[in-house]
Amino acid sequence: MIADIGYLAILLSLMLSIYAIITSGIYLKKRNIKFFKSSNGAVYAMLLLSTLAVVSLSWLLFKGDFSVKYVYEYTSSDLSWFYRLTALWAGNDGSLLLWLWLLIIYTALVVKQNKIKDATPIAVIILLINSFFFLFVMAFLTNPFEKLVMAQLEGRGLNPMLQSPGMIIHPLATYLGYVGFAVPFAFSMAALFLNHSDDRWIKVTRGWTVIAWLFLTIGNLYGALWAYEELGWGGYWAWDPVENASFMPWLTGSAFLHSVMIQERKNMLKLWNIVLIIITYVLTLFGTYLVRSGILQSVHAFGSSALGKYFLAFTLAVLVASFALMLSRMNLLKGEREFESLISKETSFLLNNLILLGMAFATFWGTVFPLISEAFTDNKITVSIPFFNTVNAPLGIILVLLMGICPLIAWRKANIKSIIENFTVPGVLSIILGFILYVNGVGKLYILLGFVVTFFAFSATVWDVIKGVRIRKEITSESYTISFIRLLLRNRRRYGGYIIHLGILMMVFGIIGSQGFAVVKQATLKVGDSVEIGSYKINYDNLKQTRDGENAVVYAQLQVSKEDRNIGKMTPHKVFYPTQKQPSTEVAINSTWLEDLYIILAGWELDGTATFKILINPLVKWIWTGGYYIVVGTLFALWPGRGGRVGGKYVKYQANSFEGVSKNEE
Amino acid sequence: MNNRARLILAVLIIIGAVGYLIYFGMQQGVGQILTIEEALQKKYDSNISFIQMEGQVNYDTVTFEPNKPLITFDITNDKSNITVIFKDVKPDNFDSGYPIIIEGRFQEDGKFSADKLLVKCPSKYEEENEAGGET
Repeated sequence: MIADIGYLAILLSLMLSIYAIITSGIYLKKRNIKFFKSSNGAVYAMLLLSTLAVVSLSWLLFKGDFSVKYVYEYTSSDLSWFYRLTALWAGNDGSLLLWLWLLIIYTALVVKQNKIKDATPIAVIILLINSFFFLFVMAFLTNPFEKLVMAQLEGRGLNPMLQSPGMIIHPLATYLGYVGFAVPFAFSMAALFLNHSDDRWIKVTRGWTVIAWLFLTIGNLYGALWAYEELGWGGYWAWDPVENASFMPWLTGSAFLHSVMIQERKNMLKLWNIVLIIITYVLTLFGTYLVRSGILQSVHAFGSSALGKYFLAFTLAVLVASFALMLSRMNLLKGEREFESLISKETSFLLNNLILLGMAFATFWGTVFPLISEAFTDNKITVSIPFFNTVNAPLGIILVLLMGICPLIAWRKANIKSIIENFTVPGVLSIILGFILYVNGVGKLYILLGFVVTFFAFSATVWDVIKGVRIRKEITSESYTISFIRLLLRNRRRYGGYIIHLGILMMVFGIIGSQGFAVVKQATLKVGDSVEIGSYKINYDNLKQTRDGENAVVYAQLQVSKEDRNIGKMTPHKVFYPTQKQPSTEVAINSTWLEDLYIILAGWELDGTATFKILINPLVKWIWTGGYYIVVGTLFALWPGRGGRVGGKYVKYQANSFEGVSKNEE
Repeated sequence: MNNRARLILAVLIIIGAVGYLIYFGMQQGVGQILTIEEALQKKYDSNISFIQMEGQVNYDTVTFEPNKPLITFDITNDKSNITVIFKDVKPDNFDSGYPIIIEGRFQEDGKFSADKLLVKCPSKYEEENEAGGET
């Protein structure tokens, strides 16, 4: 019954999406507001209906109605209510429903805000075409409410690896990010349709873009965290096609975030920005295609369903249509201002864009190479982790270097004096640091260079804040603390960006450390034995079995000390779920700012002899902590009210002497 | 040279550098994706650095020595078998019956030494390989 209601809601939404597209179209033709109002009504009705569908599926999952195929496949009656609800996005059909729901929520918000009166109807049509596609897919290909021919008494259960807090945030955040880019994409297309050559579409969608980017960042980060804590192989990133699928739009989205600033401030790079948002949105669709089509080998098993073909067709259609529209409007996008100097903020942003795009392209190349090679040579050639590291490590180092330089370099044309002022102290400090590291045995070029460049970007950013505080103190004679707080609050967009940069730098720091200095050791120990790794001593006290609800848990008791200082007990274990054939490994991690001690219980004998895989992963905690900085920085920059405008306060009162501003202008 | 020309030059240098890095990265080792039959017939280039195959574990052949650690098993597609050795701990889901993907190379004795073993799971999206095939 409830399943029928859910399916009916999808069918009705499908019809309403067609109705809303047609009425919006008529409005554009006839300019009769009644039609647009009616279309808006249809969008709100779709919101209600899709919410109803989501609630229906949640209810079925919650009640454990095993006559519904989706409920049967992803839950079981022993599963806690919490993970029953998260099963909503554990499978293909449910996650498409979630995606659609988010898309319709966003569309309804766009309708409600109606920020650019003439562009909103077109943007809504574009968003609705996307909704139509998802609804069509659900109505006819992957109905989440499909019933089994024979109702089952018990479900198959949720994969234990998905029963983890990381699996709640990761998919939700990734989808919110993916779907979020649809809004700036829709408005960019609307601007082209209307022959608008200004930057209104960018201003209106900036919040959407930044939030989409933030969610995508969180999504990727929590995916990595989940892999690190749940998959139990000791790492957090493996350049798997699925990871790459969400890394690529993140890269191009980051490029877009930066290059729109140039258009807002200098009315340059119009064409470039359109290209970037098209690529970013198409990459989110392409990522979905990769994930659902089974076309590439990956840890995540994708059934090679017919869905893939539809997604590929839709992705290509979006790509071709949007590029065709862009090419037909080339005259609008040309004739912009030229770069005035090779050393300026504009050019450094352009460089940053090229590097980000280069990384995205290289990642794309590596990801789809098996398909390319098969098409041209009949041989399926694949690349592996070394390829991605070889390409992305040097590009990443240049990118971090630019993170240190870009924010501090002047618009239009940088003068030598300010460059010396800005970069002498950070530069000298970084060289000293490099020397110290080298003397202390950091020999690998990439690692050394990585640390030095990261420190340079960090110190350049901090140095700039220090200078800003000093100047403000001189002008206003406030105390240092008040100066610091007010400086940040009055230029939230700028300093929010700085906080985000610091977060990224922390992540880079963690990545370099864990890539450069990880230690692995395997050990088979009898009860009472101990093993040493790095400066840790691990004593194997006992092997025990216990129960956790329905599940049996086997765990090893380890007593860990570091340099004779007792750290405490660690208990790596394996959990045996009644609905699963194989146990699930739960690693034990002792995390500090310096390093993680990461212990996997690999196996045991009946006499209690157990085998452990032990890793020391340096600096990993910095990666996760950097993520929090990014969240804080984004909220700081976006929070409505004073100080959140382009350029902040300085520009406002210096606007008259705009050309003469060399310092502290964003 | 005016600014525009200099800028274009700079852009070309970056594009060239990215292109070179991709080329250089490809030299770090590419692998070939083969079926088990193709691998047995040695249908691979001599200059590739690894082979990737997909198949099922023949569970009757599995020996696991956790203290080394070492797993030995046959990978099969019902018609042909290849003996695989994998010097690591047993991955979760290894015994689950899902297909696996291995990466590595043949040793001189004809056994396949895998340095990467992925179980095509956690099946986040579809479970078509389960017995029964309701999908």
